[in-house]
Amino acid sequence: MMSNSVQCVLCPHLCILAPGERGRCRVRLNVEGELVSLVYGLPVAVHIDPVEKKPLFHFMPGIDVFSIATAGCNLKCEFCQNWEISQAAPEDVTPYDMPPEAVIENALSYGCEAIAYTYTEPVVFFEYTRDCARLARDAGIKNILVTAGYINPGPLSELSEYIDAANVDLKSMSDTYYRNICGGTLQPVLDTIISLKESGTWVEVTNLIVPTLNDDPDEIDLLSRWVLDNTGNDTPLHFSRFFPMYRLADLAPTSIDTLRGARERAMDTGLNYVYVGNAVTPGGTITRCPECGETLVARQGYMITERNILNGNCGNCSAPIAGVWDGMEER
Amino acid sequence: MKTIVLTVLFLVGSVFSSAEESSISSDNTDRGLFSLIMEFAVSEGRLWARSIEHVDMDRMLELMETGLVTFHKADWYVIVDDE
Repeated sequence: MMSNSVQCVLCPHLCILAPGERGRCRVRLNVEGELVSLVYGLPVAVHIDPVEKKPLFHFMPGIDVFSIATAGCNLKCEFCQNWEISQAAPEDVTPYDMPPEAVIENALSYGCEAIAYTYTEPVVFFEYTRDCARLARDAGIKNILVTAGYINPGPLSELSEYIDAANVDLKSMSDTYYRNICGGTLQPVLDTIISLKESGTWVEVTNLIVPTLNDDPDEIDLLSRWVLDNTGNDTPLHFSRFFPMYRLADLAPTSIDTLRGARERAMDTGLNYVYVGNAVTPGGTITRCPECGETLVARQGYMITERNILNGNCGNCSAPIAGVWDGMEER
Repeated sequence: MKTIVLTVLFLVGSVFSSAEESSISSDNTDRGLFSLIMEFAVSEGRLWARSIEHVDMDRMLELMETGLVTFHKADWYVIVDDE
């Protein structure tokens, strides 16, 4: 006998839902034995951002990105910088009405060369992300995924067909941290990073350093080495500064020394491109040639102030520079 | 251990399912494998994750009719058979 219960297999939570129950993401609901998305075509955040803000430093520098997000997330990170929409139920936040066709139309009208599915968690608005991405691909617009990576292999494989670049949050190398602080687990995130890389998607990784929780130098080393060993020395790694937020409003911001030290340690492991975000540190936003050390891309905030990459190569020594540099010389 | 087994089972299951359409329906020939996955998922507890919520369906229907939420068909789910 059928019970009208369903099991969502989109993410590793694998929620089993009776009729009238919604998943841990808060945006997928069992309606009389059918699973529905509560947020399709209803973004709650719509902005135009520089691509550097995602952060992506090696993917078409200087382009504007049409960035959207719905309510909801399948994690519950205590430090979430977007908690007002990520931890909200869809009925608690007023959305825009923007079906996929309108997303593409808007992106084109504003001259955006890419669309980013970001701010909250595009995994939970999977169908909307996928349908927008398909249309964007047809329209010649790039697709960027900014994600915590908590997704199962099957749906990731389907989505990654349309994704040109991704920034994946690797919050810690500790499964205990993922469970206690984020409400998830570690391994699926590691698998996502590797799968995206293997699918040909351009991948950059971000680690938010939270004082007292994941700022131990040994953990920084472990994380850096994992990125190096599993994705190669050309994967950009961004260390991001934590600011007091949500359930960690009493913690101090990450110190500049910690961020600088993390970057130095990561580069000592052999990673070629390590950056610091949400803070000003010496060299923290400069891309240098790993062969000759020449400045390739200099940035002030999100603004590019200097560029020296020609046809994907160092403008000084001609070493190939990992990344997607389409149209860089023209912007 | 359960997490590792669950992950392995799901990876194997995904290999079989990826050859089909993206939505997994009740006539999937790997129901035995997915049933095993379901058992592991439920038995793991997940006390560290956000809870599953029961919603007020009347209110949800009102919101849907006003356009503040959608009832758009989702992909990537299976029907649970009590048998």
